[in-house]
Amino acid sequence: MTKKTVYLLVAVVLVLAAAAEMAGVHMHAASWWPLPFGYDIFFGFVGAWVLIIVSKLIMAPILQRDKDYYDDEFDEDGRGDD
Amino acid sequence: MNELMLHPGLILWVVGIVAMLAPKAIRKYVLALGPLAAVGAALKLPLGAEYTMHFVRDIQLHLMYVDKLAWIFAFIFSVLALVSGIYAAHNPNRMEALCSMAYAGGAICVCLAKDWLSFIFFWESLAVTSLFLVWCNPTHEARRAGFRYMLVHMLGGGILLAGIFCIWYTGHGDLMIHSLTNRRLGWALGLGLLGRFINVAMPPVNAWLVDAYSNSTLTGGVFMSCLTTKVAVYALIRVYAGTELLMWGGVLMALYGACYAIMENDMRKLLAHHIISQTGFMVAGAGIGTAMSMNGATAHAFCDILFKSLLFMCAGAVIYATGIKHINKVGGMAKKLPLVAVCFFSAAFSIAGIPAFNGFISKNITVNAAAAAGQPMVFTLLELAATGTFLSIPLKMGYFIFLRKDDKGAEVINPLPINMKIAMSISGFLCFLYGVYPDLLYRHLPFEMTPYQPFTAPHLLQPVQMLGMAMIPFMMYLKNMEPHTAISLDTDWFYRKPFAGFIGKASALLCALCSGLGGAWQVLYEKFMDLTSNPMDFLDAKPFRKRSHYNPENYRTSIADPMMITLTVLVSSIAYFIATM
Repeated sequence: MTKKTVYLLVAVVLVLAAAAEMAGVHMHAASWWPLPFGYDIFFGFVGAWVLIIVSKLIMAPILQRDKDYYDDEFDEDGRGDD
Repeated sequence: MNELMLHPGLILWVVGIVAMLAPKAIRKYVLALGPLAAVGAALKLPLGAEYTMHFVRDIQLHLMYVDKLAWIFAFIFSVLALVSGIYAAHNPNRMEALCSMAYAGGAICVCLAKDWLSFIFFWESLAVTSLFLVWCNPTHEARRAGFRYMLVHMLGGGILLAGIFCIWYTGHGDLMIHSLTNRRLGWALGLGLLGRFINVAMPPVNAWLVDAYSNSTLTGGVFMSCLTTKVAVYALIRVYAGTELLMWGGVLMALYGACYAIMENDMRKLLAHHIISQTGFMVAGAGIGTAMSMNGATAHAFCDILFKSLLFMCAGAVIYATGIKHINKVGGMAKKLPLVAVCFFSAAFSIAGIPAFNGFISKNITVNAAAAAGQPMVFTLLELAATGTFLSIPLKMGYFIFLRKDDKGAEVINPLPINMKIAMSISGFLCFLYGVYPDLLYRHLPFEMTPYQPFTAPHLLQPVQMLGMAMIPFMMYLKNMEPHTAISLDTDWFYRKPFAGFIGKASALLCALCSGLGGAWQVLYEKFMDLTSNPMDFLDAKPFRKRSHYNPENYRTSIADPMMITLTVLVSSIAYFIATM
């Protein structure tokens, strides 16, 4: 499945979902601001984008280390420093 | 006595002991079929059933009391023991058979306990049995992870015990388990909560979970993924429901686990991060404290046990078959392990809350309960965490492990045993069944509330819009989403690096001090021995002069002296005798 096909499928599903919302489906019971049309579509995109940016482009460079970062706990036979 | 024979936890203990003692050929049947007795007993357990035994003085142990909340947890733990027992049936390790069943049995015993003494006893049994599930994996990493796990849980258990003593003291000897919400208990409330924060893996005391669970055996990990944290959720609902700190702590857990999971490459570590994330939904539900939110937390714990154990089974199956645990080193598994792929997507759609799978009918109760309780920020942040779940499990794991082109050369080198396939199929079916017939679960929810209708147009449209749109950023950042082999530093860094370094330096200092004092003591000892070993030399009154080694021959008198004395006395005596005659 190519990227183009995925985008197309997502577009079809979202158009149908948006049409249902336009047809009068009331989406949310509570919020602290009036939710506009397509709020969940917007939130899904922005939420996923923010999570990817925060995790992969901010947290990963700060927090990720080489896979043997903790290996100085072990010597060659794995018995540690004792 | 009849009530006690129906105790599913004790039945599982018996199953574990029999499995340990049984020969290998019989053990697999005991593991696979024994827990059926526990499921049957759980189904037969009547509400209100009680068993009490005398302990010491006037203290009674309430080993079993069945209400709706305890029953639903006892039932799902029995089901977990059944499917996980089937999954582990090929494993010949006697110790693991005993510990896994005793672990599940202990979890049920905690839920059915009505007094704090029984509770803490079985609570600690969970820590011990799960520790040995880590140590059943014969690697040095598992041994080290087991020690870290033990230290963290000793701390948690100790804090909880201190909390129980406070409860006993402030309650004037009352050891029965009651809700502590809104009671002015000070230390008792704080210590009890902190002890449970450790077990529920709330940041910053969360790192033990990923560390230990990813180092357990493949079969043991399935048990571990569902028991300790869910028992802690049960305790939070039972005792601390409505505590606001829990609500925000749960939100933190949900987001924290989701972010770490997006970075992770190790399959079981990724899933372990999602244990924290999903448990966050339950903790938040307990913290909101309404009937709807607590039912949501209970329902989500029930469904999470089904789909999380299945995810661990599927990850374990891929690792078992290929010998590879990293996502970036496999691909195209849908063609090589089609049954695993089907079961994986059943669990992945469940955890993401996609309609017709069980996460949809449980997670949304808690999320909507937050909105209904006037907590729109909690609602929004939980929705964000749900998006993160969708990104890292169905999309990231699903695409990179199962769907992408097979260009990594990962081959199936160990065909899967039939028992693993049966266990995964049962769990996958249950995820689907509860997703399409939610009333099977809803009728057992413990708190009275307006019936929740999952299959309404807004409830169905919301995940379709939100999760459908979340696919776009995933595709946009597809290259970034492929993980690489690395360690993500977590809060265990503090005790694995600086604290371990401090302990190492402090130990070296104390060893040097000990060695120095020992040397000084040795000198004093030798001088003292030297001085007292030879009284003759001591009388020389020159204690610190250099002396040669003591040789008694140097101080022994000649034999001539006593002979001369003897002869003199003899001759004198004879002379005296003759003279007096």
